[in-house]
Amino acid sequence: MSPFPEVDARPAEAAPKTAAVPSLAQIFEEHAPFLWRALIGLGVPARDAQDLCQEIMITVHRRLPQFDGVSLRGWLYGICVRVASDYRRSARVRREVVTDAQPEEASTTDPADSLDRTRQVRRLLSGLSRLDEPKREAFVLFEIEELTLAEVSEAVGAPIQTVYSRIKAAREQMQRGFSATSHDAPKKGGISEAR
Amino acid sequence: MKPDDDYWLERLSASEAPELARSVGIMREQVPDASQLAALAAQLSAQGVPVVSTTPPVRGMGRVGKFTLSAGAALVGIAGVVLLLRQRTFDHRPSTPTVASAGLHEVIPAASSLPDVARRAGGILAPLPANPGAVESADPSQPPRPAGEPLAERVGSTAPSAAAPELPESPEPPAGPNLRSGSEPATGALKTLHSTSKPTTSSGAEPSVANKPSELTLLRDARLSLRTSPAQALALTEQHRQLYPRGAMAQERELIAISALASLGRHAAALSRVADFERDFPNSPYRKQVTQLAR
Repeated sequence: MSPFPEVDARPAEAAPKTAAVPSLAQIFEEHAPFLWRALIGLGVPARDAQDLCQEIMITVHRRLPQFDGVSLRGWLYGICVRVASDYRRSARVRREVVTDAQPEEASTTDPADSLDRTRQVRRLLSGLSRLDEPKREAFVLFEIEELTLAEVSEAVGAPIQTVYSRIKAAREQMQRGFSATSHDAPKKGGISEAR
Repeated sequence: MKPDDDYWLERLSASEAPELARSVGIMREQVPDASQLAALAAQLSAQGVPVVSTTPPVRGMGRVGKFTLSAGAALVGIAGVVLLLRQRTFDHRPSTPTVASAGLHEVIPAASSLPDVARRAGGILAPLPANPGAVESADPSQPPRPAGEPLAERVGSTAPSAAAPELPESPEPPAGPNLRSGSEPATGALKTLHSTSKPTTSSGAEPSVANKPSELTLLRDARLSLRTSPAQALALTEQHRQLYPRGAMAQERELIAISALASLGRHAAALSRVADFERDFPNSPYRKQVTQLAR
């Protein structure tokens, strides 16, 4: 059941859970880049990520005195999830960068590897955009941000059991999407515009 | 006893879902550029949110650590000093061992691999701190990935020279001189970038308006270097953007910049720029090409 037991021994566990509340500067330095990434995973277009990350930090600044000192990541990502969620509900969302379009083979001659990576990111974001909000949050926080179940649970404000099932369900749905796209888009070579 | 002991879940493994796991892995590398973080730090500091500490924490320097800190500090507070230093540098290269001047000497040999770009780009970034659109402008100019591994990977995969061209670009002006003693020679790409990039900004590589390169020259050079050194291409497009914000060849510039970003593996930045392009030039003949780049 645990083919890669070490996989979960991640910084979350290793990070000292000090009782002392870290300074804002420390939080910024250690977490801002990842909160930023999480925003993108949660459906915020890259160009708005900075603004929202700013919003997160302002909230952190305001609420830091109330932080209980237990699970910093859970707490931070909780703010992140709410900011992203508010954003998605707002009118700004209309300008989604990621479309539902199936990723196709790009017909450029640019370095294949990096294009491939761009495609992979796009594909993942596209898959994520098809998940419902709770599943998406669970998947992003657990798989991409590598939070522990407990941290995810705190961040999204749902019981661990619920988080567990959401992650499972999200994985299945994502995997289905992935195998579907990899089956029907194996070697089209960008000819689909003919249709 | 971890509370989640009863619900133990492994992360997605490559063996059960190779494709998905792979793209998750790539996604994990998508952290913002140091310049974006610096811009964010500057914004926050401007709003009275003190995300930049004057005394860097000794422990737990995050992956972005010193870089961000110093960048932010510099952006916000030291712009004046930068200007001052630069002037002094110009007038009579001070021999005072400030970080800036010490670094300057480090940079010059490094940057000499791309003669002109380096100089110009260094100067371009100087106005950054005051620029509210710093993200945008900082964006393309900024190589060092906070995360060490991805950077190494990237530098390795693009071209050995990729790191050097970007040096002058880093918009991090000299931060608190205490952050970096400027004495890390070349242990790793990331470190080198850090220690050398700051000084450049302050060094006085001024964009001389006198020999302002033409739009055409800049973009031609950019296009030519796209293959061999996307970082340099990016630097040139950034220079174009600074010199000709409303130039006649803005679309061409964006096309090149986006290609360069994609080549450098900076996908989030590329996607963001694609979106801007699609918004700004909805009827562009390049639109399809640009959109395809983001796929």
